[in-house]
Amino acid sequence: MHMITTILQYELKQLLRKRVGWALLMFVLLGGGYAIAYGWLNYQHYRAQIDEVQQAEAETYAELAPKYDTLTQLGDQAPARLKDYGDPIMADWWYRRYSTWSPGSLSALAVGQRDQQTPYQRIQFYRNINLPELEEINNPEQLLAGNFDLSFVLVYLLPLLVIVLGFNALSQDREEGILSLLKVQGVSSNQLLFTRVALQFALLWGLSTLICSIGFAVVGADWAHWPAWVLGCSAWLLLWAGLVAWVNTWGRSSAFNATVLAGFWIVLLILLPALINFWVDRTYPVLPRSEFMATARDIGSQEWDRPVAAILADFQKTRPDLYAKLPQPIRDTQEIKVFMYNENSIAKVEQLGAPLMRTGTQRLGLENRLKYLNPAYAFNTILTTSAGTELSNFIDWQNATKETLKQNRELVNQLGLAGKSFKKTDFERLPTFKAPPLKAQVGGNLLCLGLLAGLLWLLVWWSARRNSAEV
Amino acid sequence: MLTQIIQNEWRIAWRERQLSVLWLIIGGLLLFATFSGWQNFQRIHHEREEAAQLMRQKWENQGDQNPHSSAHYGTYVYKPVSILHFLDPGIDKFAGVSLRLEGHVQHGLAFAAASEQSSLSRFGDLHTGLILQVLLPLLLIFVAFNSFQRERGSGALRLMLAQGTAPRSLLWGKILAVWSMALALLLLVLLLSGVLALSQPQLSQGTDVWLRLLGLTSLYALYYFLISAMAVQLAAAIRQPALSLLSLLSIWVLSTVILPKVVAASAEQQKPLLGVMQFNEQMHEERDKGLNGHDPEDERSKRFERKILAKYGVDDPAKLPINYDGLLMQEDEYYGNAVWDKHFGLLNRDLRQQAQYTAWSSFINPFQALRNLSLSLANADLYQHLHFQKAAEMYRRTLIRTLNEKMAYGGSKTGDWDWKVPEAWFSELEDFNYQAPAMAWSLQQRTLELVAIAAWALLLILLLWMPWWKAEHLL
Repeated sequence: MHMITTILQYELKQLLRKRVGWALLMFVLLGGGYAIAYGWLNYQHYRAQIDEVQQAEAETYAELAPKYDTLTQLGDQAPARLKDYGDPIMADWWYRRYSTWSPGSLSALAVGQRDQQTPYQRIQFYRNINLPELEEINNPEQLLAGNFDLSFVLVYLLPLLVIVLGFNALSQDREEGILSLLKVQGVSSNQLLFTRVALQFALLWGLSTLICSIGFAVVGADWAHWPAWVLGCSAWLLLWAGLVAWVNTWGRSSAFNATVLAGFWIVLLILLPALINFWVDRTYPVLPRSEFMATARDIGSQEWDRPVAAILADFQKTRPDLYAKLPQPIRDTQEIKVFMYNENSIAKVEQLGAPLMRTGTQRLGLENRLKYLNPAYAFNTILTTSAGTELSNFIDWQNATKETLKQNRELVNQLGLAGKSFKKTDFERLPTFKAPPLKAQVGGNLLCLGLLAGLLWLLVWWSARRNSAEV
Repeated sequence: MLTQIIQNEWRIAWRERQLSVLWLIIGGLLLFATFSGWQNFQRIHHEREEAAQLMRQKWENQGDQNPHSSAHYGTYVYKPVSILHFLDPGIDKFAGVSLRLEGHVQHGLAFAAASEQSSLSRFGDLHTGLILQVLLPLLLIFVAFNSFQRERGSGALRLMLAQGTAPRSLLWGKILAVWSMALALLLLVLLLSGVLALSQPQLSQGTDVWLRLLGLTSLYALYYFLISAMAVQLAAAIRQPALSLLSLLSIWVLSTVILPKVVAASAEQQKPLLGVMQFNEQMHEERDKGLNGHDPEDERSKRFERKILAKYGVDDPAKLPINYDGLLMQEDEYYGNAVWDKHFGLLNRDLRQQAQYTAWSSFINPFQALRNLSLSLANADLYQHLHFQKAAEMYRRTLIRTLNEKMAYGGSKTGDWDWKVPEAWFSELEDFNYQAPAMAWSLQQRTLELVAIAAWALLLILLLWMPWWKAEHLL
């Protein structure tokens, strides 16, 4: 025990003296600082856009509300132009409302797929979730380059730091002829290796925890996710420390160790994710949407051109609940045609678009099943899903938007089919979009990282016992 | 002597088991990526071709139609995928691929595949470009980092220098040896690509594809020379192999992983783009209130009506021998076009400035030059994307103008919205036929990157002629 304490003290002194170590520390701190600053500015820009949408919504209401007051006051005396506002479909059209995808400020630290998505969808009677009205403006070359956020620093750069600090944990002493001297003094090479790796792990754990904490504090993130980030970092570091220790037990030169560890870095962070991505792309290719859009356009126009009787018959099948509420006998089918047409078209387009919506979930399912082959992605998923910026979070938002669209249609249908006009009080009955609860996929991915790290450390223990005589 | 050094380096690389395994792995990956990239290219190409044909079919079979209804019905056009997509897919999955063309409204390119993928896609795709840009240079680093240490340790270096080998020849020999190893793999890719391209003669017609392929090969060859020259010179200058390897790996990580992201992030901060809502709102506002903010649509319409009535010498649009609605809609289109030109012009300016910002970084990071030029030569970069967008908009303008003119002068009268044109007339309208820009145009957009990579090559060659490469410094 005394010897281990001595080694620890010595190693700490050595580390503090190492100029390379300090340079690396500065590099990671600067990189982390830059990543936090970049993420924060990026988030502010994003937030400003969401705020503008919400402000525009409030302004539209402020413009519309007095018109409804006048309409109520004038009643039947109101001019025809003003009477249009009483039409539920027109009221829904004029009152521009949006569902917004606004992940919290933690998304500043893990941008994930937030920059690829259009974060607002119009809530409107005719709108279908499969037919987005807006496509966000992006520079595709910037998207290709990716984001320099804190998650990038933790996923990519932290392992490099582990490698740089630990690649010669034993080999350097052997190359300098110190190892045999230490052995004479009763220190085993395994003791030396594990003590060093443990110290480096502790230092890097402290560093990553510090950077995460600074990030959380700067962006004002919800601290409830802090344990997930710190635990994720711990498991990720443990995995890399295991790799470093394992390679060191082989008893080869420092250059060899560095080459092999660099190889692991490339395999785990570039090659394996690319291969798995390739696998997922081949199994569930992203279906082309443009053909679907054109067919949806045709559905719209063909449905409208059909005889009203046929529309009514389909409506009875599509929405028996609404059909049952129609006052019988139906007096004027032309008057209610638009509502029936809309329900029929939306049902048809949703059916047509179902495979498109399903593909995303299927891809995510396969990626999740392959996470044991892809620890970098497992770690990244902890960060992005807790920040609410993963595709799965976006799909949740789309589903919530779909629900709001449905509720909105229900109200307009209810008023329109009953021949009622839209009043100011009906604004309060219009559904407001409720963001879905955040589903952070932490447990499964932590377990995956933990298991892989545990297996690796078993391998280290076995390899260290086997090779202790040689190293 | 140079040939002997090169042969010797090849022999060593072949004898070292780890290195030969790495060569085989990278070679195998290159073949796999090129083949699968080709399959992927064919799938995407067929998808877009089929979609384009389907749209044309729909357009031609729309039945007897009022030209204005037809303008609303519109059509879709698809960005054709370049045949060199299989070597470098570039921005393809991050950029929209289809565009809806209709009257009154100008849409943006939509449906980027990446928006339907998880963040796994951000780790990168396995394609030939990834291996050529990222992995092969790394392999060269592994080959070169201890190229002097080996001979220092065995005493062979001292012997060679004593026998009169000039230090510079030694450096050149090792550089050319490492470089030739990369060129061998590159040649393999070039041959394979040539064969694959020839298997689709209708897509590889003309000289442009072959010039681009040659350009890509020359570009990568030049980049591998940079890597070889830098790696060998650093290996000669640093005595400890571990330190030499660490230095080279640090440069590799910095240039391929960190700097491109940092530069992209800075470019984005320098010129943030408007959100689509704000962008559309501004366009809508100017179309409504006039480009100067004081020329509302109503007044513009009244002015135009007066002008037309005066031209025909009547006092009511109903008395015109033509359909006034068609003229008015076209006049509105002209105005909309001017608004589009202004706003898309500003957006394109911002996008180009972001691209220029990253282009300048090529002077501190040759990888940036390689990546940008590779995108450009594969016809898969931002500039080509904007080129397509403009071509599609020009087609839209011609199409809508033709429809509006048919409405105005085709025989109908003002207010006659039920008037229809026979289906056959729509088939006579020209289909969208996009001509991708030639290589010279693509390279013209990337002058900075070309100058930067040439400057890097010159600098590394100049360094080889520096006086510090003396025998005692190598030992």
